[in-house]
Amino acid sequence: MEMLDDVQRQALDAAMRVASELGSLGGDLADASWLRGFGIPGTDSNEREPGSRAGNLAGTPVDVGRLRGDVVRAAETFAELVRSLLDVGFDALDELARRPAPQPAGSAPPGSIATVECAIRNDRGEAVRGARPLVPGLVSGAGAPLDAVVSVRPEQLDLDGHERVVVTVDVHVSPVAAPGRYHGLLVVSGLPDTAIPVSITVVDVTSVSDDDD
Amino acid sequence: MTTTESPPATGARSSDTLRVPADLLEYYDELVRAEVQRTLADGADTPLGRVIASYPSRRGKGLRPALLLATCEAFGGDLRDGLATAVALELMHNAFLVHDDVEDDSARRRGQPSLHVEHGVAMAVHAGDALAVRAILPLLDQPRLSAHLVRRVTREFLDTASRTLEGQGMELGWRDDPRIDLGLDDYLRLVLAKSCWYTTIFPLRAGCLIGGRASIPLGALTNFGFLLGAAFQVRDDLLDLTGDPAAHGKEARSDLREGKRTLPLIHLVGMVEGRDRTWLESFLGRPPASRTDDDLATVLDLMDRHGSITTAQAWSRGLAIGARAAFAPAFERAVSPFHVRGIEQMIDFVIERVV
Repeated sequence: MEMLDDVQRQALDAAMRVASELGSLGGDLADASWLRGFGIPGTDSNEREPGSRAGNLAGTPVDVGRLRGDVVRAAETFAELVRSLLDVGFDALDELARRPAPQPAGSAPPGSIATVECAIRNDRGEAVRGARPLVPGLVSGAGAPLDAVVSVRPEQLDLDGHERVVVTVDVHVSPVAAPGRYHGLLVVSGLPDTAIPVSITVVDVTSVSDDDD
Repeated sequence: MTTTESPPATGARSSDTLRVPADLLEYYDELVRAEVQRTLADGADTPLGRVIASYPSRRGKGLRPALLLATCEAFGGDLRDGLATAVALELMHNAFLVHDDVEDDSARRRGQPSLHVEHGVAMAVHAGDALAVRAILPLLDQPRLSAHLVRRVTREFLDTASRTLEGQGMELGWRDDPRIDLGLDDYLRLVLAKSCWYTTIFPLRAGCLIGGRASIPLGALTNFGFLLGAAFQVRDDLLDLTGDPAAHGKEARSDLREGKRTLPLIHLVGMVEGRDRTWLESFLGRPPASRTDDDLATVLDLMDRHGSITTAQAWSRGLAIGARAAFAPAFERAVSPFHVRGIEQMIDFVIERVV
């Protein structure tokens, strides 16, 4: 190990002081176990205050500098781990945000009721009272309207700012409705920016096999 | 060190086919310069494009990207994984140099006229802006890295750039005030912010993040980088006073003429008394353009008499010894002894450099 003269030691001493001011450096310089033997105050492992608790532990020599370094390193490893986990978590959230939200959908044979649940959120800061959700109608991909009566429960909503509620869309499918996929929009009076796609599949019962046969 | 001496299999473009680690600096420099030119070739047919494409072709030391790539490979990464970040760092370094020369009105850089001397202040400032913006782009296009690693490295990069700008602002403030009540700790705080982060600390941290896939604590590398960067800067201070301007590529004693708070100057201000002190305070209070060659010779003579240069030399040596002591813990978890040896030899380059 190279020996330091007074001026060289002064340089390292100053470097340690400056580094110890900065938590963002990771803290290891404050430990500076790698500087043992250079005579920098606070770095020699056998340098211990008289009567210090570390020095009295059942007479076992405790390397305070190394212990402190280990603690710092452990904390740093933990911090790195947390940061990595947070990054992974953020990535997952980003990925979820990029994905299109699943479209509320239901199915029913002609003459029965298809039920779909939809979440409505008041994105405004202020409350909205007496908002009415409704689905004006459903059409097939070819534009043919679905023969059905559509209602929404509850019929009226009171929403605080940023409140989210789930409503139920009941589609009473006519017995003569043509099988196929139908699409509509759930809109809400009082929330002009809300338009939630809803889809219904009218099942063709004539093509469903009977397992008991 | 945790593995044997055999070089790692890091891919076709790995540097481990080189015969000796000493060749690493030159090898990385060639690689990064070619990639920088390729990056800037897009848009090089415009007036601005021509200016920014020509500037990085001036040969620098290439220490920053080399340190980054060597660290990446030392921790088991593929050279290609770190190349985009190394290019980003080199472009940001060029942007800083262009603006630095305007701020200091430096006439020469890398052996040629400074960009504002060659193309005017307006175009130089504009080119510096363009280089800084172009530096970000390679970071965003790194398909070999995970999204989270790209974000982490980009965050470190931008944090480093902010620290460097803060450091430069600190120094400009000291010169404008003008501050003379500075101590050696102040000098190290300045050096840490202005130089160490982007010269050594970021290259080491980014190289380790990329090579080790963000699995290795960075504190020990940061310590090493701080000491290495500080030794590098003290050496730079000394070269301004005692180096060969032709080899250094800058004007002789340009830092002194600009009143930069270098280590020898801060030491001198702390030592000088009486009439000499009055004269020195007057010298530092005057505009740089009014400082004559005779003035600079007088300051140099004072530095000689008060041991400021020998003190700076001793500081450089002391910081280098500290850097060597901090080196082994920093690379304790490295997996490529070949590249670790290469980085160790870069310490000697930093300490002994004459350019």
